[in-house]
Amino acid sequence: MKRRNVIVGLSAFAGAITFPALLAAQPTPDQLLAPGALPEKSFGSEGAPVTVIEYASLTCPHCRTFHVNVWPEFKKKYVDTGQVRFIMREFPFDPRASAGFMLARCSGDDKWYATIDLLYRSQDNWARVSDGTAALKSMMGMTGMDTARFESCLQDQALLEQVAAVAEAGKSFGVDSTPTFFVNGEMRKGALSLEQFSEIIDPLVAEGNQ
Amino acid sequence: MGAHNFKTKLTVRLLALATIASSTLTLTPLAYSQDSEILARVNGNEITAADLAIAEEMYEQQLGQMPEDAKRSVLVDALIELRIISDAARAAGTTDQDAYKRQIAFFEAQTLRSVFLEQRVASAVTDAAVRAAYDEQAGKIPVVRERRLRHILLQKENEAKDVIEALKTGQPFAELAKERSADDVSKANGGDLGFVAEGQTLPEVDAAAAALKPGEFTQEPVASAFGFHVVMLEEERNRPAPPFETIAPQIRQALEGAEEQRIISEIRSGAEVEKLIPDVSPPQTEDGHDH
Repeated sequence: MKRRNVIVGLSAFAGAITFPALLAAQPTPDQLLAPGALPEKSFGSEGAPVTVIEYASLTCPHCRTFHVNVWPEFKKKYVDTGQVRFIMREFPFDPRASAGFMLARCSGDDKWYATIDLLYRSQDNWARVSDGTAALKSMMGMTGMDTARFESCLQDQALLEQVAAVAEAGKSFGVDSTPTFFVNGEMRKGALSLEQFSEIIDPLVAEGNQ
Repeated sequence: MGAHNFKTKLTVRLLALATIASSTLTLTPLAYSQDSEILARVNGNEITAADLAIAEEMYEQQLGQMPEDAKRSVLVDALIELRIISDAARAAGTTDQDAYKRQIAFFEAQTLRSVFLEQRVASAVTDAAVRAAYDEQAGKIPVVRERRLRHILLQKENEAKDVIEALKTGQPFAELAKERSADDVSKANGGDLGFVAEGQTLPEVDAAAAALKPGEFTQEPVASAFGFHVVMLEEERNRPAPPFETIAPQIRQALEGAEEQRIISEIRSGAEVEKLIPDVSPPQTEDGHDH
């Protein structure tokens, strides 16, 4: 209880500094799309009629489910066809998730998504084992990241703070669980199926095409 | 101040009683030569090693980490004080007071509850019951296919082709992994990735491994965002259920919890209960995850 109060307190505090207008109501699409602490990781056309923002954590099982089972079809149906611009944002719930997000950022732009994908797929092998660091290191070996780079990446305090700032911004928009999606600004909590997404997105696409 | 003290002591005793119930069978961290060994005298009354053993259980949670001899000394001090004050209280007639009787009745009820439930639960949750629950759960675990893989990562496609050629001439995979792999983690283990469940590694590596038979390696480099992989399948199997020994304690705990609830509701159903204040649920605590 106490810890939760601290967290809520902190996010409200951060919100008060960075997003004074957002505390009360649902954020507007413009506010949601304002530049954050890290470069945006987005898929699809900037001119797409629908924008989906995902806040997810690499250690969260539901987020893995979305990424492995729904995202590939979603991408094919909506992103590759220019109907949806999809943005992935970091919302780590624990130090391991932060570490995973940092490692993906350290892998470089060309390997960022492949690293995120590998870490989601291999989640059982590093997120819930006793020696998380060793497991993450061994997993990152598959990407060719060597031990020195692995260690320097995880010691990058500035990067850690940037990842945390992305999550803090998410909290100020009302995100408190993962995955959380914003579909043209409308908040949807939980891992939606492709059908559930279609129900929300199809009318918006039709509207946008008129 | 008095109220605060009472509350603190109550907490201490509640904790202590909870500890007694759960640890009667798992005695005793401090080893004493003889239960009758006399450790102190207070107004002619003896404090023995048996008293110390109870005190240790009672106060274990408050003691934390300290050397055994210090622990022994602190506990004997506590027993001495307890005896002095309780003797004084008896002499002052405290045992005749209602406040005292109410507390004793409360502690007695609590002790009766834990001793009774513990005995009933223990006789229901036998080793055989734990084994049967394990067998049942192990049978329900979905089948997961897993493969023990070896892996070499190379930056360039022709490097990967060279490695494949070398493998074809019979050079051991582990040796080549050590010499050539850009993956310096698996390099150290001769490329060994251990058992990897289907769907839990790079999709390209997963798909290539699925096409191999044990002992075979990929005949072409496997391209991914990270470079070119050479993959060897050592062994393929269905993931074994976790061994009985590792999960038996959790199973036992779950069965005991369920049995305790069953006993409680059985007895409760035969009791006449009138709760004269409204039912109010405490506020939910969230951990932030969407489960």
